[in-house]
Parts: sequence; structure tokens; C-alpha cells
Amino acid sequence: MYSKSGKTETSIMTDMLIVLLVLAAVSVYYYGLRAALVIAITVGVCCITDFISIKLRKKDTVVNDISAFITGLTLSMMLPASVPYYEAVIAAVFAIVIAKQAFGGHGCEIFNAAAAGFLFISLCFPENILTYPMYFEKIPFSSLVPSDMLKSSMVKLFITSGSPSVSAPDLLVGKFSGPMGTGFVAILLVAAVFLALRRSVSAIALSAEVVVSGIAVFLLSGFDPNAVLTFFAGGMTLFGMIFLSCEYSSMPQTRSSRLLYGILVGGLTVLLQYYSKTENAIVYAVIIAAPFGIELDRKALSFAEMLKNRRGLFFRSKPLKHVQETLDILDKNDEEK
Amino acid sequence: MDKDRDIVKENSCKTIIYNAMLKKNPMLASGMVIAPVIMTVDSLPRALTLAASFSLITFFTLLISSFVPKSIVYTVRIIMYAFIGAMVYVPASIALEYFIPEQIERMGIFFPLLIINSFVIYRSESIFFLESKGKMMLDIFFCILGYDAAVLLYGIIREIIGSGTAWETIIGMPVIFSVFAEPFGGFLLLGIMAALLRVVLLTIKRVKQK
Repeated sequence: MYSKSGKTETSIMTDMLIVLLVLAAVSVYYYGLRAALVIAITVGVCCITDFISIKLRKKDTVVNDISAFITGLTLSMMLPASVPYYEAVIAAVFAIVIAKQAFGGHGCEIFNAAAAGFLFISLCFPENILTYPMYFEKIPFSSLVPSDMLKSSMVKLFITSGSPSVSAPDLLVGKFSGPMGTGFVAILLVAAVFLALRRSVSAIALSAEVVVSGIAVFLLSGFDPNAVLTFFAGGMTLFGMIFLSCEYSSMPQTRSSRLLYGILVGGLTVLLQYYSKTENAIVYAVIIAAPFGIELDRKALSFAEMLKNRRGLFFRSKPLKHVQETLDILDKNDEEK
Repeated sequence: MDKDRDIVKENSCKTIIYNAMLKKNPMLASGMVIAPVIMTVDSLPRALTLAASFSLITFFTLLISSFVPKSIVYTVRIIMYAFIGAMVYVPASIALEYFIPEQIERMGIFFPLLIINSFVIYRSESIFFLESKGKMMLDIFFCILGYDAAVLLYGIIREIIGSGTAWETIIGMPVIFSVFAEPFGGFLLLGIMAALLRVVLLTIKRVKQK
């Protein structure tokens, strides 16, 4: 099966898997074996639930489909290392059953399954999901971690005080309280470049999100570069931009709609974080923007169709590159029909 | 409209009951009058309040509205139905506020909004008023009953999983999903219940085919 970027889906998934495994390894190094256990439980439950759901729906299982594994790994990176095990299980089941299989399975999801699963448990159990242990601290293996070991996230302090509380070097290496795999900015930056160059995430949407939100935060914080870094590191912003909003399964098809989608997600993230004081604003932004992504595609395709009909009138020589690309998609769709 | 008329003529009493309770359940299959359900029904007492007020207002509004002559222009007819609904609302609200004042107050704006629910505005003209008076009464009765049953079931489930209580008494649930007490969770639960109804209907269909 080929994705919208022209690469095979397995190839995209493998790229994602490589990056997520690196993040998982670092999170185990930071938070110990409990983090490994949470990752194993989340991934395991995702894979088992996906398999059972597919069997119940009487569909054929695809051998090289690792989407459930990726969902589980993405979801686990968004959780605190101290999360009670049953809550990780609930998040995984919700992500697969409600957000993925209920919409028709892999490739048919409207919302990112990992984002939906995380959002569900963060609304159900905010006291456990939005409090975090400190890095390099020995976290007990019991399901419920003592509350005196848990702290509010760094981004919550940033939202309430308005000024960053962690130094730039610490932000780059993820030395602050937060989800176990979303704060390693240095690794995430390398991952973003790697995935964009490999065309496993949409470079257009990702750059639009980063530029729009970066400029907005820079202006809103009174030209403070550390605030921009805090914004991207905390609240899983950079992680969400790469793994939740820019993966091809939930991306619009055309370049123009991807650009608009990126601007929308970036703008919404800043708005939600700065004006409604929402922690993990990117997750909400991705969920809100998802239906718009589909609509943007529809509009772009109908606009291109209109241009196709009036090509002679509008274009004396050759149409613009992205319009030509949209027209190609239209032609391909026609052929498939 | 003609197609609807044909369908209505073919409907037997058994079909009417099956449709109203399951196949075309107003709340779970047709998505009718769901705003007050999501916003106000988060426990069984509240579900009972909505079921009682909806039944009272809708049944009498439809009954009286069925006497409005068909010769009157459609738009005017609909306005008259709303007017009749408003008239029915007055004694209904007095009666309900007498028996369950707190519950009615909790419903807020969604209580008077029941006057112009989709049963009165849409389903009356497209289905109910095309039937004979006897069949119409039966259809309205079972449609309301189907809606009430769905609301009560929804209320029980939402209370147990969202608040860990039953009839506002703590029952010691191991996990409470507080999100289901919020409107977001309410939508989600309604969607899950609607999907489950489809599964039940498909199973019945398969069994019948076998």
C-alpha cells in the first residue's frame, strides 16, 4: 500500500518506529524500569486489542501492519512514567477500539488514535495523568505511585507564571517534569529532520506549525527565546507536531491544504495554551483540526477541479507546481474510479 | 412524502412497536432530542425527570396537533404545533414543578425547549399524521416509550460509570470515568450506545435470516 507521500506505508511506519524506539530507550534511561513496563503494557494492550478488534470485525489481519505498535509506543511516550497500569490499559483500549477500529481501522481514522486515547484518560484521571515524577528518581513498581513523588509539569508552571523556570540546556535534554518521552528536544529536532528528509512526515505542515507557533509565542512572550524553547519542549508540543499532527495517515492530500492545516494546528496550539491555559494544548489542537484537514482537502480538490475545467482560461503555459500536483491527484482518483 | 405514506400504510402494530423500541428508536437510531439528554441526563433521577417531562409534553402536543386541519399551509401548521406545545407546557410545568421541583429546576432551559422537539416539528408531519388516529396514538405512545427506555438506560449507565453511583447512592465502583459526567463523555456514551444498538439489530437480522 502506498501513502500520500509516495512511500510505502511500511517504510513510513519503520521510520516512525526507529525514532520512537530511540525516545523509548532514552525515557527508560531517565525514568527506570517502570517506564519500560508502562511502554510494554501500552504497546502490548494496543496490539492485542487491535488483533481482537480485527477478528471481531471479521477482517483479515495484515502481517506487516505495525500501526497498533506505533500507536501504543506513541501513546506510552505521552504518559507519565508513574501512570497507574490500569489507566495505561484503558488509554490503549480506547485508542484502538473507539478512535481506530470504530472508524474502520487503519487508514480510515479521523482522529489520531494515540491523541484520542491520551485525551480520554487525561480527562478521566487528571490527577494521575497530569502529575509527573522527576527524572533519575527511583519510581516504585506498584500501580499507584505515592503522590509526594509527583509534581506538576514544567509547562503548567510556565502557563501560570508566564516565564520559563528551566534553563535552555536542561530543556534541550529533557531534564524537567513532564511526560516520559516527549521532552527530549534535541532528539526530537534530529527526529524531525530525519523524518522530513525521509518523507515520513509532511515537511510542509511541520514547518508551518513550527514557524507559526514559534513566531506567535516569541511575540506573546515579549521576544523571549527561552519561552519559545519552553513552549516547544513542554506540553509535548514538538513531539505532538511530529508524531500526532504530521503523520501521513491523518494528513490532507494536497500541499496547499497541508500548509493551511499546519497553520491551523500551530495557531490553535498557541491560542489554547496562552488564552485557555490548557496543558498539552497540541493534543487538543490536533483533535480539533483533524476534521478541518479532511474539509481542506475537499475544498482544495474542488478548487483544482474548477481550475482543471478552466485551465485554458487561467494558465497560458503551465499551471503552478502545487496546482499541477492536485490535478494529478484528481486524475489518479478518476483512473481509480 | 408518498413513499412515507406507503410505508405507514404497510406498518402493522407489531412493526410499529419493533420500530419504535429498537429499529428506529428515536434517540439511539434517529438521534432525536439528544441535546437535553447529553446536557442534563447524568443520573437516573435526572433521566426519569426528562422522560416524564418529554412524555407529558410531547404526547399531548401531538395528540392535539393531529386535529389541526391539513388544509392550512405547512409553515403555519408547524407554528401552530409550537403554539399548542407552549400551551401544553404550562399545565405540564405546573404539575412537574409541584412533584419534582428541584429536578425540573436543574433541567434549566432544556425543559421549556422540549416544546419544539423534533417529534413535534418533523416526525409529526412525516409519519404520525399520515396514519389513522388509532394507529397514530399507538405509534406516538411506543415512540415515546422507546425514547424513555433509551433515556433511562443511558441515565443508569452514565451515572454508574461517570459518578460511581446508582440513584445518587455510592456503589463502590473500582474505576470512575468522570469524563462521562461531562457533555463530551455524554456524546461519547451516546455514540457507543447507538453503535451497540446497530450491532444488536444486525444480530437479530442474521438470526432471522438463518
